[in-house]
Amino acid sequence: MAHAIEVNGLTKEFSSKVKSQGFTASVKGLLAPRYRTIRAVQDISFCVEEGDILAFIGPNGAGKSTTIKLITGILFPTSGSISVLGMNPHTQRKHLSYHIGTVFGQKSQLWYHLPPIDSLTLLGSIYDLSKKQTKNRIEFLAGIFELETFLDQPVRKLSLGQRIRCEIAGSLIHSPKILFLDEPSIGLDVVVKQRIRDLILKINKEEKTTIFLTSHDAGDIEKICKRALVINHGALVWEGTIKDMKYSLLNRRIIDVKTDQRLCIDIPGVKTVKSKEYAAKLEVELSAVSVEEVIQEIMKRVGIKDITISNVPMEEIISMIYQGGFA
Amino acid sequence: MIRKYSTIFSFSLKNQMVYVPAFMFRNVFFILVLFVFSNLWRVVYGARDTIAGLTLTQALWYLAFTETVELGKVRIFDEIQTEVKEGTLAYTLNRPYSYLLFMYAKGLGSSVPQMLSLALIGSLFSFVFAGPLPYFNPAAAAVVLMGGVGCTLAWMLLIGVLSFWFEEVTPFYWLLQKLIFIIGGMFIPIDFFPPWLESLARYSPFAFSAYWPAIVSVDYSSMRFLTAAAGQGFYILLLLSISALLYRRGIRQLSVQGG
Amino acid sequence: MKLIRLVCDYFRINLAAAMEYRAAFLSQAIGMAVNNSAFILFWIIMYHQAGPSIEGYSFRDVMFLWSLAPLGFGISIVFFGNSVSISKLIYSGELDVYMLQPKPLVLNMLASKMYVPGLGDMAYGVILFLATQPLTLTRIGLFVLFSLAMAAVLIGLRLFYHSFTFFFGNAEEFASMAAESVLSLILYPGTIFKGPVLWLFRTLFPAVWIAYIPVRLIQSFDLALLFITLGADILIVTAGVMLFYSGLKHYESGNRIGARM
Repeated sequence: MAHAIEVNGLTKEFSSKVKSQGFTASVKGLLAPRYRTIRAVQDISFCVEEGDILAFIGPNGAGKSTTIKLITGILFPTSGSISVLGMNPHTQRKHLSYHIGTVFGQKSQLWYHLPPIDSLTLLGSIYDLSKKQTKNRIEFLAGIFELETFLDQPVRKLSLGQRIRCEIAGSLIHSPKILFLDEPSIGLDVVVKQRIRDLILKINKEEKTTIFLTSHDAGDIEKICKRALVINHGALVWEGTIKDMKYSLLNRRIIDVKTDQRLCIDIPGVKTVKSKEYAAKLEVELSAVSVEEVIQEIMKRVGIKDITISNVPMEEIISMIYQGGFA
Repeated sequence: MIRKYSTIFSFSLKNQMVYVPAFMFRNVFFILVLFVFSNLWRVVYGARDTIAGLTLTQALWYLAFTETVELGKVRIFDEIQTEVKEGTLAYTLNRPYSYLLFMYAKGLGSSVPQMLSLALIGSLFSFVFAGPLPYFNPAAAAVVLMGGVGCTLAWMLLIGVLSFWFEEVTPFYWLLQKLIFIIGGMFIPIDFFPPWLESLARYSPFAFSAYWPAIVSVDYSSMRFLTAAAGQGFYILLLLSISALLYRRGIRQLSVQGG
Repeated sequence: MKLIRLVCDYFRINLAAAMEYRAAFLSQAIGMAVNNSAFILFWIIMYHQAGPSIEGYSFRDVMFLWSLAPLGFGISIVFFGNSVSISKLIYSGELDVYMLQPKPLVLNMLASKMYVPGLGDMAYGVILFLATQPLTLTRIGLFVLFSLAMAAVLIGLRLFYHSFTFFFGNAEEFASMAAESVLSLILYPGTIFKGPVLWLFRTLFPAVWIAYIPVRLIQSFDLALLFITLGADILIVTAGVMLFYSGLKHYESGNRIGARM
C-alpha cells in the first residue's frame, strides 16, 4: 500500500503579541509591540496508509487542528516536509483540493438559509463536476447518508445531526481520496454519534477513502479507528494501533471482585481503587505483578464469589495521556 | 484609599483604550469631511465674501458643529430593538424607573464625552482650514449643542419603540438621518436653500438637530438662541410624549402575548 | 469562463438565500436608493448657490459621479461581497473553507457573499444615469467600463488595506476607514482639490483614477488618458492581490494561540 500522507519533521511556530500589564506598559505595547514565539507543532513525523482510518488524539491546544491545517495546505509550515497523495499541499494546494475533503466541526460549508441541495449543487460546480455528475453524486450520497427527507429544507431548520450528515456529504461531493474530520461528533447525542460513526465506516469501506479523524470522543476512536497518533504540547507522544494502545502499551488491568468478607491486599503493583465491605476494585500493574499472582493472593485471603478482569476503559486511557502519565 | 481609586481610574481608562482605534478612525473621517468641504466652499464662494450672511469661515465651522452632533450621538435604538426582540425588556419592567427615560439619559451620558472630543477636533481643523470664528458664545453653544443631540436621541427613542411593531427599525433610522442631512441642513445652512425648501425646513424638527445648534454657534444672536432652545425643548417634549404613549401600547401588547 | 461561471453560481445562490427574506431584502434595497437620492437635493441646493459650474463641473457632471459611484460600489459588494469583510475572514480563520476548494482563492473568497443592499445601489446608479445623462453610445460604453473599473479598484483597495491584518493583527477598523474615505472622495468634483494632496488621491486613496479622470474623459474623450487610467487601475488591483497573497504566508487560521494574554 502507498502512503496517503507522509509527514517529516513538521514544525509550525506562531508569533503572538505579548500584552503587558499596567497602563504605561500597554501604551508602550501599542507603539512597540513585543512578540513571543509559540511552537504549536514541533518536529512531527508520521505516515498514513491509503484506506486507513486514523485517529488523531490530543488535548485542547495540543496542535491537532494546526497539524490538519498544515497537511491540508491552509497553513505554511515553519519547517519540515509534507506529502499528501504525492503532492506538496502548499505549492499544489489547488490540485490537491480535488482529492481531499474536509469537515471542520464549527466551519460550515452549507448556506444557512438555503436547503442543502442548493449548497451541494454549488459545491459540485466548485469542484468542476458536470450538472449530471453532481446530480448523480448527490443522489448516491443522499442514499447512503439518508438525507432524502430533508434535502430541500433550509439548513437552519435541520437538527444538528442532520446538518452534520449534510456537512459530511458535502465534503464527499467530489469523491475525495482522503477525508479529514476535525471533531465531527462534537455536541451530538449518543445515537447520532453512533450513526455518524457507521457512515464514516461505510464510506471507508465503499470508496476506500482514507479517514483522518480528530476527536475527543473515546467512542469515536475505539469504535472506528484502526490506528492512532497521540499529540501533546505540539509533539507526537505515541503512535500505533488502537489495539496496542489498549492491551499492550497500557500495562494495567482492572479486577472487580466480590468476596465473602472484607478484602485487604497489600502487594506491590496492586492499587485498591475502591473497596466496600464485600466488593473491591483493584488496578493491577502488569510490569510488577501478573494477574494470576494477584488472584492467587486474593484466594489465599478470602473466598471469591464473583470476579471480572477488564482493561482500562478508553476514556481513562485518553485522560491519562492528556495528563502526561503515559510515556 | 487613594490607591484604590487610582487603580479603578487607570483600569477604566485602560478599558476605554480598547475603543481608541474606532474613535480615532471616526475622527479621521470627520477631518476628511472638513477638508473636502473647505475646498468645496472655497470654490462655491469664489469671489463672494458672504452667502446669505455667512462667511466661508462660518460655513465651515457650521459643518464642524453639525457633525459634532451627528457623529457624537449614540445609536440608542439598537439597544432598545435588541431588548424588545430578545424579550429581555420584560426584566426591566419591575424596576423603579422609567425605561425610556433611563435609555434617554444613558444615551445623553454616552454622547457628551464623544461630542466634547469631536468639538475639539472640529474646532482645531476648522481653524486650520478656514481660520478663527469672529465671535463665539461658548455657553449658548453648549446649550444648543446638547439640545441638538437631545432632539436626535428623542427621535431614536421613538424609532426604538417602533420595534414593538416592526421586525427591523434600522430603515427608519436611515430615513431620519437623510432628513437631518437635507431638511435639517447638516451640510448646507438652511439660509442657503432655495426659498421653497427653506420655508419647509427652517422650523421642521430636523432643523433643531443640525441647523439651529450650528447657526447659534457660528453666528450668535439672542433671538436665534431663544428660538433654538425653545424649538428644541418643544420637539424633545413632543417626541418623548409620543414615545411614551407608543411604549405603553407596545408593553401591553407584549404582556398579552406573554413576551 | 469557468471563473465567470463561479461568480454567477455564487450570485444565484446568494440571491436565493436573500429571497428567503424578501421583505428585508426589499426594505434594504429601497432604503439604500432613498439614501442616495437625498444627496441629489444636496447638489441642487449647492448649484443653486454656486451657479452653473463648480470648478468646471456642471450639475450633470456631478450626477455622472453619483451614477458611477453607486453602480461601481454596488457591483463590488453584490458580486464580491466578502471584500468588505476580508479582515474578519483572516482573523477568525474563515479563509480555510476557500483554501480547501479548487478555485482561485481570492475570487472564490470574494464572490461567495453578497450584500443585498448593493442591488439597490446598482439600480439607483443606472436609473440616475439614464435620467440625467445624454444617452450616446460612447457615454454608455464609458459608463459601463468605468463602473467595472471602479468596482475592481475598490475591491483591490480593500484587499490591500485588509491584508494588513495578516501582518499587524486585526486591521479591520483601519481598512474600512481607508476604503470608505475613497468612497467619500469620489462623490465630489475632483477639480476642487489642488496641490500636493492630489498625489495622495492618485496613490493611497485613488479617487483620481476611478472618478475624476472618468469625468474628464466624458467631458472630452482622450484615448491616451483612458489607457493610462486603466493601467493605473490594473496596477492598484495587482498591488492588492499581491499583498494579500504575500500575507497569506502569515495566515494563522484562527489558531491564535495565546493571543489573549
